[in-house]
Amino acid sequence: MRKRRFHILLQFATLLLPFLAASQTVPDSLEGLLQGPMHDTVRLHRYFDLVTANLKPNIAKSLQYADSATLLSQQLKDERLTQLSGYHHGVAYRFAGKYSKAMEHLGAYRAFCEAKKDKAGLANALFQMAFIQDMQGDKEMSLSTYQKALSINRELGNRKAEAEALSSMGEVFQGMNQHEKAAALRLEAVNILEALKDTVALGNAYNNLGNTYRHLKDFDKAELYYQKDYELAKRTGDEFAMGYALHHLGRIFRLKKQYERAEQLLLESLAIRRKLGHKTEIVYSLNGLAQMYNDQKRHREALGLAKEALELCRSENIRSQEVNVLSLLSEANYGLGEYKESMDLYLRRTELRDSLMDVETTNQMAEMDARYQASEKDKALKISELENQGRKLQIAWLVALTIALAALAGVIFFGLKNRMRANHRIAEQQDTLRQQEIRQLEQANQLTALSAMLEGQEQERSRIAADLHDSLGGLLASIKSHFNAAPPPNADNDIFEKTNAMLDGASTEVRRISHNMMPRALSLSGLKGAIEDLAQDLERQGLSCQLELIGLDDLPLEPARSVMVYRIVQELTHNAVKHAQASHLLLQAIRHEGRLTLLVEDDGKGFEVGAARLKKGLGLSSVESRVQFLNGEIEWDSVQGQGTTVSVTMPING
Amino acid sequence: MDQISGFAIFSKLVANFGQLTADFMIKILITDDHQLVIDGIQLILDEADDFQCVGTANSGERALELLATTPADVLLLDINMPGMDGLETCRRVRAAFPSVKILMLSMLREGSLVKLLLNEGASGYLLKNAGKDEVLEAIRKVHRGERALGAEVLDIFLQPESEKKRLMTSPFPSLSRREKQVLQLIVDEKTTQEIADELFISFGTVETHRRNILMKLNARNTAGLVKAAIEYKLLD
Repeated sequence: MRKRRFHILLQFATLLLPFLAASQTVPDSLEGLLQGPMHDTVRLHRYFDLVTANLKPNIAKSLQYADSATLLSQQLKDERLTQLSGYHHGVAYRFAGKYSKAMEHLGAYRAFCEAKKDKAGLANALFQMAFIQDMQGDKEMSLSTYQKALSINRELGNRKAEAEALSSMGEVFQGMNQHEKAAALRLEAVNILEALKDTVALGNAYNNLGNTYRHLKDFDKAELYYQKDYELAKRTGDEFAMGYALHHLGRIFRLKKQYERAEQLLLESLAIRRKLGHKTEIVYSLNGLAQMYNDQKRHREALGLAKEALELCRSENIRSQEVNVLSLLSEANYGLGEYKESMDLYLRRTELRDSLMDVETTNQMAEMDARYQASEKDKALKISELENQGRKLQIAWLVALTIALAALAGVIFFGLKNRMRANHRIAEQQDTLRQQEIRQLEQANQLTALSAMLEGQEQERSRIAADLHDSLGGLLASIKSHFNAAPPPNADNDIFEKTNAMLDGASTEVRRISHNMMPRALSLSGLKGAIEDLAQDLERQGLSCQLELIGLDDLPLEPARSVMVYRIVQELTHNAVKHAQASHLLLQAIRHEGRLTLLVEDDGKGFEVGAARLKKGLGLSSVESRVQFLNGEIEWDSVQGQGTTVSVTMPING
Repeated sequence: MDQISGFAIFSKLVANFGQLTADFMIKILITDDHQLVIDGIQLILDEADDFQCVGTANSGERALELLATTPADVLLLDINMPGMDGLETCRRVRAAFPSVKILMLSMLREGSLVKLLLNEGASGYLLKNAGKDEVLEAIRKVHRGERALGAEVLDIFLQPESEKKRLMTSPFPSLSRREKQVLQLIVDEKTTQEIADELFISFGTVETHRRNILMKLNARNTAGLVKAAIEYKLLD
């Protein structure tokens, strides 16, 4: 079965499918394979083959086989096979134009493959989903999904699938009228397939590339690739494909106004199609010829062909082509001076087109409705999930713990096993390394953005603090000295004192704000001094604070990192005082073998760490992003009613 | 002759009186990057008759230049200045002009800074919003060779010092609650897995705690941990 048919069908996807049964041959030989006794798994795979084989010729049958496959796989109670049935079901739905159902199945299969790390399966699912996204008009999404499928296939070295993805991306660009991009992608696909010598796929690719160049009005290149397609089809004896190639070549010559050559090619194509008895294709050929004759003002000949085409359309119910045929008939009649007839035909054409569009619109509405229902269901599901989450949290912790232990055991087991098969693993390891590199790069990018943001924030704070402190603080101090040196002559003592007190209050306030923004002590007396000040401040607020700073003299910490460490301590102690309402605090910073370990422990209320993380409250996220900036690790340990212990450990140099 | 010589001595005395009184006055150099602050201090100094402002500087660099040509007894010095800050200026003045007494006059009231500057050789530390009398008294004190701390600065040092207040029962940094729990279970001869199970924390977390305890107690292995725990009564 040539994939070609499918690509041409795309143009009429939803409309044409029901009428295909009559014009295409059903793979009888395959159905015969279902006869007789066989293992269920074998039967299941036969079903899969039948789903695939019937996609284009008889989608109803394909769906039936998909149902059978799903039933059988459920009986077999094999998760992988059930999922695979789901995938086939999804593909069948896709061809039937039932996109929301198709997406459900394919989405499930995708998730399954992701979980099982089945990359080939994942690429297949993505490929199918991208096609649907394209059909649903979400071109950007489709391209990005194709791109994922493409990357996976490249990684797997699956050249043919890579070419298919490239070709399909070309299809999307073509739909967006970006024919240059389409041409580039399709050319890449052709190059791959030429190297693979995959004649079937290569034929499709030539044909697609020809179409793109035709859109670009690069008729010479279009001709070149249609010609290549023709030669390939001829060599493999694929008459169906030959029919298409000749038809396309004929069209190109018509567009080049080389009518003689065009006529010859179109007639040849028609002859082949008549021989094969493919009604839809015969209509295409008749239309192509009629159009050319109209161009040449050979209206009488055009009229004859178009009439034949119209009869075929009616008898075979090929309604989408009927619109074209009526146009051609109208045009021919006009050329012959039969204006009334021409007008009637034109009106009939318009009427038919509108009714077909109605059908299409109705279908689209139904599809949109189905999608809406699905998304509503999704929403409801998510809400109930969220509601459950809270309750499940505790269980989740236990489960997570168990999973973590199991995973650890698994890692140890596999570690031993793998050591014995070291040679076998080199390739895999390289692969993992590459992925790790990618992940690290991504992380590095995120980190760069994060540090830029955090550093910018600190710079800004520093600037504001300096402004406040120097300008406003200095001004207040000098106001006070001026005021004291030359008090207003009539002011009584009370007002004088009060004004002085207010000036002092203002100075203290400016000092406090600027200190919180950026403690000068940090740059002058270092992290140790700044933390000592912080502890002293806490004591002044009535907290008992146990301070243990070890090895912090001459700490070789970059200023930017030093500020971050200070902020972490500031935030954690702030939490202890404000949220936990602690009365005793242990504040520890220990330098040991190139690492700095901070510990802030309070005797406050404590909190639910998991819940707080979800809410991202309590300045947790600001602490965590700073820890990330410092390339460190953080651990929250809180017991309600007992207190909270937070420990952070980081390398001193980056 | 005598008369003449007596007059000469008298006139000499009168002529030198200005110089003499100037010698008894405390010569002050003010350094602050804000002219307004300098003006304010000058106003205060004008009120007293035992002070003489011999110069003002808007930066640490300028203050050092001035000191080379203009002897001063007391340097009033700000900390926060662009370019050479008060800390660096203080160090350099101490090195180049050891007889000059330095009185810090700053907006900053962090204990660590006060300590730092006193360690670097400053004789006193005042907040900028100190009262008139406080400023004058502090200048006189540092000139006499005493230490002068403003009332608010003194306040900082009167705070109970937590590090000193704490009774040192062990020479080690304190263990967190969780670390104590883990240490107790280690002493009870539990394995890492058993500890993890008992405390509902992960295997890795227990290992991290163990590492941290080893570090804090300066021990090399479990035996060392147990020994320290018992010796210093780390567990209740």
